[in-house]
This record gives sequence, structure tokens and C-alpha cells, in this order.
Amino acid sequence: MPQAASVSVNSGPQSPLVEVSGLRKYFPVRGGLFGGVVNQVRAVEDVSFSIKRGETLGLVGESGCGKTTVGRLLLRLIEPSAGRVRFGGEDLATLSSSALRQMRQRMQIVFQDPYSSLNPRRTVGDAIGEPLFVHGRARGAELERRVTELLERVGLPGGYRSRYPHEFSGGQRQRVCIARALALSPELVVCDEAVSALDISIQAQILNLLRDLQDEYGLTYLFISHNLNVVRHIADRIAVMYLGKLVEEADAERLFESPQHPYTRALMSANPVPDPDVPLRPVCLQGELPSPLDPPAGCRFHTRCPSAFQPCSHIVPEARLISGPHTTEGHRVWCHLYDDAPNSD
Amino acid sequence: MTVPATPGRRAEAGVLPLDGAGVLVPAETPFRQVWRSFRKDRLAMAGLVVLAALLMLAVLGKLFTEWWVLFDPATVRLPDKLRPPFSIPSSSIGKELWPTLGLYPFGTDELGRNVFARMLQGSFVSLSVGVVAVSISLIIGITVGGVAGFYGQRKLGFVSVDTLLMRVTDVAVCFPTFFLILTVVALLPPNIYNIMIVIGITSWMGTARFVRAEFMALREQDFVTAARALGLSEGRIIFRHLMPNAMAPVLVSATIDVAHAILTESALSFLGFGVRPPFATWGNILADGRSYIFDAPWLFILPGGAILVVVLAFNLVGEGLRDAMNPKLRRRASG
Repeated sequence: MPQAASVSVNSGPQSPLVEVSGLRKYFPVRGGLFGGVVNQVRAVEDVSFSIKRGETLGLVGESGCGKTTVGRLLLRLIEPSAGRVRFGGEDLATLSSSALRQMRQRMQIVFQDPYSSLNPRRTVGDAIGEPLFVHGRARGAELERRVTELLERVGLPGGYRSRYPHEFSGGQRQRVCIARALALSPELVVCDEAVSALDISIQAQILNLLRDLQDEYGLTYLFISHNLNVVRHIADRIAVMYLGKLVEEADAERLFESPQHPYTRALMSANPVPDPDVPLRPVCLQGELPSPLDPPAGCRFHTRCPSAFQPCSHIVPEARLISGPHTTEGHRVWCHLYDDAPNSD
Repeated sequence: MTVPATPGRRAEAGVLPLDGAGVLVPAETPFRQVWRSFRKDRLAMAGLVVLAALLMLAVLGKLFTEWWVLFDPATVRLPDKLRPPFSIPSSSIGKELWPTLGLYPFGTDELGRNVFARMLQGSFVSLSVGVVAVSISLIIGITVGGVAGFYGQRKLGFVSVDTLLMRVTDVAVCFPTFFLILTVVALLPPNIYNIMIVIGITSWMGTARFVRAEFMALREQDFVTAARALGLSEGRIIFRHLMPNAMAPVLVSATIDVAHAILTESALSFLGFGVRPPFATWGNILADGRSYIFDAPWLFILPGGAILVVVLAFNLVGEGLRDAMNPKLRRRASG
């Protein structure tokens, strides 16, 4: 990630753009005769991380581990059950709805499914121009000009602005969504599986576009994906989630070279490498992903962990700092195997 | 690099040229787009033409039967009862009672009244009952369904807004509507406006359910989340993003509701709770003609056919509008 890294180096030491601490989200499960809350899905449990300006944080994990929920909590599209999200130093939870609407100009999201993320009844020009219009950034001819510019910036002819979403392919729609997200010149863009629905060659195009845009506008990304190769391609740092909790966080190269947490290792070994000579020896995990309705006590991974030992089943592991080569930002692991290492908090 | 460069600044520096005129499609207002597409739908256009003609007829009917009485729907000519269409008045009818055209274009009824004049008078009532009643039911239905679908999760005490509104809707559905109308109409003075209102407030439940279901499906879609993430107001999300996508089934069911409203008015008039005789509506012409099905079939064929034509025209226009408003079914100006 040479270009992306240079952005953060140029920007110098700064306070992080996004700081998340102790974030929790429990979704109520309703049932019974009167529709009362009978249980809770613990989608996100005590997640803390921060993202610096101009940096790309990759968030990986298998389906249902709470990645998307974290992304939406970050933008306060859903309300957290507990914990705090600070954006540019401001606590999002304390903002009034009008202040939040103003704040939303600074953070945007690109969704996984390019087919449902555009209103089928409005032209792409409307979609891109609407935020500019609503926030009073541009009107009339100026608005048209900005929309045309944005479309061209994401690699589509400006004349396409009077077309409807169904006239575009998936990759083109994703470009439109990116243009819409960029319309308000945000600082943070959450890419929620933004390339997962696209085929490989289009994925590469979109990833390169995202990277170019980052260099140009100094964007900060939270890049959510289940695809390790994609994340490795774009992220500066990577956080790994399992069943609603972070298990490991490190610089991208460091994480791929020496994954520490047993779950990360299993994940890495299952990741196909496009080289037939590299032997594929996956660490096969036993069993199924436990239900987030009733997550295991202690370390959530202990039921499937090949190296689980005595404390794992009843003590929740704390974040430990691992030192080694490439660790500029600190390599955090939540695992009892590293209980000797210094506590990161 | 703390603040990202805005796209605008780059263009001023001349990095991005504006697009060549070649790819530009001339801007068209949404209304013009819908109209252009609607015009290509021949059936829908036929429906629109028929509706326009009927509307004119209704206005002319009111003019010629009430204000400037060319055709008097109330003149009784007992010697000329049950004359078939296009018959000429018999010699026993005095000059002062002769119909305007010198003949009975639609025949006469059991009291010798000119059916043409009665149909003309009734067209205004029947059309306005259909349109006004359905407008009232649409307003109530869209409001209730929209609130239930969009704000459904909000709590009011121990029940959610959705539960409250939909149980009210269920109660309204379970109510024997027709008897409710009869009761209300018996208590209120039986004029046409009360009937419109009563029909309107007893027929909104289907619309409410459609709109609620559509809203609930749509609000989970990413483009609605995106609209929230862009900081759009709730009003804008509801009226610009949800409504246009939810209107298709509502439009089609509304055209059928127009037919129902016209028929309900007919039934009420038939039972004597509707418009007071001798004032004619298509409904009471039809009702009066029921005893003479074999002797004077025109007495039910004409008003029945008129109701059929109105309903069909509304239906065609509704479906044409639904298709014209859907960009996927609309063809581009260029090709």
C-alpha cells in the first residue's frame, strides 16, 4: 500500500479521525404472545479501535460476525446499545438529529449490493445531485456541472446522468454509488463489502478507483470485507472479527506474515493463494459458528480453537500488545496464549 | 491534507473537461417523460380519451339538466312509458312536453321520463362519487399505511405504532361496511356529499395494507439507508424515495376502487338511502330498471354499460400510469 501509506505519512502525527470504544449492539429477539423481548442477538460485543486520517482499516471476518453492524454503528445509522463513537473528536451519540444530519456530510457509506443501493425510479444524476442540493452545496447549472464532474471522476461519461439505474451494469452502478458517496466530499467512507458482489476484473477496477480517490482527496476508509485478498490489496491495517468481537488487529503486511491469533491463522490458511506450487494446508476448524444468541463464555473462539486451554472457557481475554518487525502501530491480540505480553490498554 | 480537496476545486484547475455535447441527452422533466411513455400506450390513451369525454359529458350534463334545462330528467309522460331508444313521442304528448331532440335517444322509463336526460344528469353524480370517494380513501389509506410502514417500530405506551394502526385497520375491514354506511346515511341528511365521504372513509383499508407492505419492504433497501446516510430529511425520504416506489399497486387498486364506489352509490340509491329521487344517478336508473329486464332491457343495459365503460377507462389509465411511471418499462427518447 505504498500510496495510501504515503498519505498518512504526509499528514503527520494526528489524532485519529474515528475512535470507537466499548461498542456494543444487541438486537432484541421478539416473540411470545405479546411480542416481548425474549432474547438478544449479541451482534457486536465490546469493540474498540481507531482509524487515523487518510488510513484504510480493513475489517474482516466470516459472515454474521458483526462487521456490517460495526460499519453502520460507526455512522450511527443504527443506535449502539453501549459504547462510544467519536468522529473528529465529537461524540456522535450526543448530536441532535439536525447536527447529525450536518455531520453526515463528513462520512459516507458504499454498500455491497449495487442493485438495491440506488433508487430505481430516479436517474443517477438525481441520486448524485440530491445530497448536493439538500445540503445547499449547489443549485441549477452548478449542480449539473458537479454531477457531471463526479460521474467522470468515477469513470463514467457525464451524459449518463439522465439514465436510470437499470440501464447500468453492477460495476457501473457501484461507480455511481461511489460518486454519490463522494458528492459531499466526506472525510470517511465506509465500504461495506463494496466489491463483493462484483466479478474479479471489475473488483480490481473498483479497488484501484477507491485507492486513486483516497490519494486525491485524502479519504479515510473503513473497508469491510470477508475477502482476505481484497483487504490485503487495499488496507493499511486490518482488524479481524469473530462472533462480534475483535480477535486481532495489526498492520496489513504484519498480519499476513505472522498472524498470532489461532482464528486468524485458520482464516489465513483457508485463503487461496493464486499459485499452484504453494501447498494448501488449511487449519481445519471443527464445529460450527456458535449462535450469537448465546455466545460461549470466556473467549468466544474457545469452542473451536485448536490451542484452547484451561482459562479460555471462562476468562474473557484482554488485548495484548505483540512486538516484532513491521509493528509501527502495535499488533493487538485478544488471546490467552499471549497473556505474558503487555496489556495494550 | 486535513480537509479533502473538493471535486469543484479540481475542475476549476482545468483537470476535468466537461463532457462533450455528444453524450448529453437533452434534459426532460419527469412529468414529460411519463407523458411521453404514456402516450405510446394505446389502450391507456384510449382510456384517457374516454375519461376526458365522460368528464366533459358530466359537466355538460349538469349544465343542460339543471341550469339551462335542455333535457329535463324529471318530466313525466305516462302515455310514453317504456318506449325503446330512438322512438318518437306519441301524438298524445303535448308540444310543451316534447323532448328537445324530438325523440327519445335512450328510450323512456316506466314513468315515461327521458332516459337520455336522466343518464346525463346521473353522469356527474356517478363520476364525482367515484373520484371523490376514492380520493378520500387514498388519502386516509396512504397516511395510515405510510405511518405504519415507516414509523411502525416506534412505541406508543406498550404497543407499537404498527400494531395499533394495523389492528384498527383489521377492525375496519371486519366491519360490515355496507351496514355501517346504511346506518351513517340514515343519521345524516342523504345528500351526495355525505355519501362520498362515507364511502371514502369505509374503503381505505386495502390501500393502507398495500402501502404498509411496500414501505416495510422498501425501508430495508440500501438506497433508503443511503438516503439517511446522506443526511436527507425523513419527509424527503418518504415522499421522494418511498412513495414513488410504493405507488404501483396503489394506483391499480384505486382504479378498481372507483368502480366499487360507483357501485356502492348505486346500491345505496337503490335502497333509497342515496340520492333522493327524482334526482337521477346511474345507480338508481339501473335499480328502477330491474323490474323491466325483459320489457325494457335498455333501462339496465345503458347505465350498466356506462358504469362498465367508466371502470374500464379508469383501469386502463391506472395501469398505463403505473407502467409509464416505472423507468424500467419506459423507453428512452433516443432509442
